[in-house]
Amino acid sequence: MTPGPVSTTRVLALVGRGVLIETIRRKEFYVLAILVGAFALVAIGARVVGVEKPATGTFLLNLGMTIASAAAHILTLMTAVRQIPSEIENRTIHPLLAKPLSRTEYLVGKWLAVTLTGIVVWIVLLATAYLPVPKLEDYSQPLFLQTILLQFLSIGMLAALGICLSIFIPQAVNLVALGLLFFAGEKIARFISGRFVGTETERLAEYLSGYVPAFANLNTITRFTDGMGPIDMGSLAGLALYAVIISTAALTLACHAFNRRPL
Amino acid sequence: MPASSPLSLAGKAAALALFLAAPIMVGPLDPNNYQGGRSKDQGAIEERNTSAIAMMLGEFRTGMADMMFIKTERYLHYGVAYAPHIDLDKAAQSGEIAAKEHDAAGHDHDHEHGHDHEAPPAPDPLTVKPGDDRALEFARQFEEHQAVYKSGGVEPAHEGEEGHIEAPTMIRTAADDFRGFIGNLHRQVSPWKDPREAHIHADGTELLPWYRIMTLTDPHNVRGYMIGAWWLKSLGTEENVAEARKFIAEGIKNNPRSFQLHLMSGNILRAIARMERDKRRDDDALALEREALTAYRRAGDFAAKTRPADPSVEPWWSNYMEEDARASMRFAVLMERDFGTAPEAIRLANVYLKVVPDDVVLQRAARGEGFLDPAAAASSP
Repeated sequence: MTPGPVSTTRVLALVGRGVLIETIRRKEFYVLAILVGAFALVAIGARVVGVEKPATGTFLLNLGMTIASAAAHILTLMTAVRQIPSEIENRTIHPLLAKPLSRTEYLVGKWLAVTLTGIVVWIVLLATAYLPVPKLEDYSQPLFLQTILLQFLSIGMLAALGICLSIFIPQAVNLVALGLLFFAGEKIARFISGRFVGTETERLAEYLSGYVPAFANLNTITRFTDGMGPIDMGSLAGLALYAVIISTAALTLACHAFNRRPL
Repeated sequence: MPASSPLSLAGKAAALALFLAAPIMVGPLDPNNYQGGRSKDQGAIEERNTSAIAMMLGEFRTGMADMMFIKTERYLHYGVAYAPHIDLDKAAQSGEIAAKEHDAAGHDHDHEHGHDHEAPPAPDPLTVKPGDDRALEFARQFEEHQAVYKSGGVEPAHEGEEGHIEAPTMIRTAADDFRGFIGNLHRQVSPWKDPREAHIHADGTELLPWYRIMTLTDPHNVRGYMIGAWWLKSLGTEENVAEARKFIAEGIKNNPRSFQLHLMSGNILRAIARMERDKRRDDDALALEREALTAYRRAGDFAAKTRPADPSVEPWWSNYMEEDARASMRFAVLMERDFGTAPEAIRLANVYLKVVPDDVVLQRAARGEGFLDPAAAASSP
């Protein structure tokens, strides 16, 4: 009796479960959690002692949210870059692909799992950093929700790029390159395009620098703590579409290459 | 044999096409390009930096751009760190944020631009022509600093004030330092000068690399672009003024609605126009003046939109911004008068008077006073 076809959802859940369990078992999660936990202790201490100056409270809030965001992205990056290479190296990919599972489904499943893991970690770390900090000034709640949404999209984009590049370049190089892009990509792009301001190739340089993934545009933590208002829906939709386009393009390239790669 | 890919060729082509078009989207979608905000409010920054929590967290209390601005201040005095004008002892004891008490001459350490000079008086606004940097307070202070540097670098003590502490150093004097030999060691190994001695001024152009790095780390650092461009322009050579123009153009690209940068752009274009006129290239000079007019118009319009209705209740609107905003509007009107049309200049003056009704230059222009023949204006410096 031959088994019936496996639904895509079941397949994705199968792949995803493995990623989540593996991430929780690894040390990186606990190291980052300790870092954010240390900040939470400082914030609790500040609350106990009493924070009188609103500017100090805002500074703590910004610092906490930034640390939580950086930690979640670092974990996502580290998880994404090792998925495919480590499974190939350990030869655990073969039994997985022996199941009625296409390579594309496998890859998309990995991406979904890494993204969901990053999102869960981000929520946990955000709560750890956000809740203890005293809120002495007004902050826009709609913008807070927008910030969270954009961070989710940023995690998805980083995961897609990590998985895509892991098919082409070694793990360590991938980690460094994407890490640089995430933390300093905007500055690198502006530096490069800034060299061409006032020249004939200014527009071309500006256009090409737009290919550097704009993670900074998906981070509105400082805008939130600055007390600014929410982003208009058109811009929010544009940013979401941008993240989806980059993620889709990265995953499409990854699937195309992975389907042709001998294991 | 790899499983066949469910991705169709059309799907791949669509993904590629969307990716190739992605740079078009990313430019206008920058939610972090905005004016104001608590992180840019000088009062909030000082309040934060003197809090116990911020001190515990050490360098985290300042942003990267803040750290660089502190560096520029140190460079102006050969690495000696002078304290900001906040009374740190009072802040440490009671948490109160208060300015240090000044002497009768109004000596003040300018925290925003790192100076410890007596603030040069603003010139009569009716005598200031468009492009004149004397309209900008930071420019007056830096020019004063450079004048001291060029005359030997030692700021002379003010009459009857020898031994007076104008601005204390971050590292305390031996008499005020409880740390004993550790304090002595600190004074030996770090750049330190007894605050009762005359200040030594370094060449301000050494700050230029810091302004470059400052604007690289924070492309929305308007002060960095404005002051860096001014320093480049102050060098006076054609090459450096052209670099200043390029630098400010980059600043405007990253901060298109910043009136200060359009104002500085206008000043730089006027400086280049003067150089062209000196070489008797009057047509080129006139083209540059018209470009400067466009820059000042943008500066004036953005200044009018950005200035709050009641600046006294908006802590983020500093005295420097007020002065720059007024200069922007005045220069826009005066340049329109000299290189545009008189009726448009009068109209513009009336529009800006709704924003700053007490401005004497705009009041005069709105009455049509001081209007010259445009041809004569083109030949005047």
